[in-house]
Amino acid sequence: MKLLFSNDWLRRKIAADPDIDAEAGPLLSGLAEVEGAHHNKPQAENVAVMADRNVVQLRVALGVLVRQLRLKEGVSVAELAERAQVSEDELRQVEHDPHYTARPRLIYQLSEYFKVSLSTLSQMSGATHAVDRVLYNAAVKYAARSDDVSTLTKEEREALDVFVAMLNERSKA
Amino acid sequence: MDRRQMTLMLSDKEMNLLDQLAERRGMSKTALLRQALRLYQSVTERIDNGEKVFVEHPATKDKTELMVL
Amino acid sequence: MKELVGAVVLLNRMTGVFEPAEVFRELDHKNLDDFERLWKPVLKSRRDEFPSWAAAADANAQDSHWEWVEKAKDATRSLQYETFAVECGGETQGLMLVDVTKFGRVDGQQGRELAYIELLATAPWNRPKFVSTPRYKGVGRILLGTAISLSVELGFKGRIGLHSLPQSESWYRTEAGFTDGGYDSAKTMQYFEMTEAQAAACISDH
Repeated sequence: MKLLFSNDWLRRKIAADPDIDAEAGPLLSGLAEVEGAHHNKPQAENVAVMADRNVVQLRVALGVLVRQLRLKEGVSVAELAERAQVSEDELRQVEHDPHYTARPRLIYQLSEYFKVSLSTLSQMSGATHAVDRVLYNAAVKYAARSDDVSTLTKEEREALDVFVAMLNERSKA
Repeated sequence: MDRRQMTLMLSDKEMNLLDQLAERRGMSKTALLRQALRLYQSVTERIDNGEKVFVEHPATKDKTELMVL
Repeated sequence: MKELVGAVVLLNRMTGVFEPAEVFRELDHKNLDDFERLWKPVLKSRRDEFPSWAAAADANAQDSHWEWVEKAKDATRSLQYETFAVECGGETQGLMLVDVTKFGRVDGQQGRELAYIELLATAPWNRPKFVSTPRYKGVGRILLGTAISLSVELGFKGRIGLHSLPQSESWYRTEAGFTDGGYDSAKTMQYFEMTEAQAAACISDH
């Protein structure tokens, strides 16, 4: 067998390729998914170690956030699942079941699709050991304010935008 | 890579079939025969591992076992 | 028997210089040793920083680890699997496991034989999102070109397929030139395939 590409081709492509890992197949360890998160560790003094009930509260907020972002787009769960290329069942569970552990891939896809920081979404999915206190408080407050209806009121829409802006700001902290 | 040689005598019928299959699958005859060997090995291994290999008719859902040890 | 397939180059990110590297077909003890001795400790030290992730992902991680090592060992006597390694500086920089008994799914090549990349991995010290000073760039490119070359050698005309981890999807879709085959819920990953034309375009010198 011989290689059908030249080293000139290789040099050119390597120089031009973006810094994205070309990985395929199952993870060799569970870590690839946290790559984004490790750059954005919250400050030590602002960090709270979480009990189970904290995780549930954060996931409630995550469910509300995802549902509201979806409503803002005006699409059904099935449609969002297709657009964000995730499983419809998982999406439903994230929106409604705070005891459900969302898989890293789902969080990643939603983060990319809605342009919300991966590290804060990961924290809200309860996947991290400790969480940024400010984020925790804001998330709980945000979730408490929303109503379970099928459209967003103007106030809800504004609150959503403010919350998302905070999530993205917080990830740079 | 070490290479060893084998001379294969095929009947007209076998040769015609080989020609047809190779053309249909867009491969040379030797590539096709090598691939046939791979598939044979892969099916045998699955059966060795306790799996079963079936073909299924999509409409009737009738299943027939393909290969048995 | 492990054999040298070709002499290639990798970019040393720190010096900015291209260094000579090799592509080998079939792995040997050295490659499996490097994986255990060199790759895993780096992977493990990261995992220790994130215990909840580890707990959630551990079951899957263990399975996929064992499966690929067993398949890699089987590849010596099996016609179904092909393995490749990229070595540079005396160390294994990348690994690839290919199943050559799978068939195409995308329009235009359904049912056609192709080389399916079951695993493509670069050493953790080469990954920019993993370590702050990644070492070599180009392992993915080399292995992609190798998979296409294997496909041609087997008479499959360059057709290849793979499932991508989320962080690599945009590379496969855009830079590498694959056809997006859609989300595969059985594997919870996005499926990609390259047609003959895409493979030819990918490795063409122009």
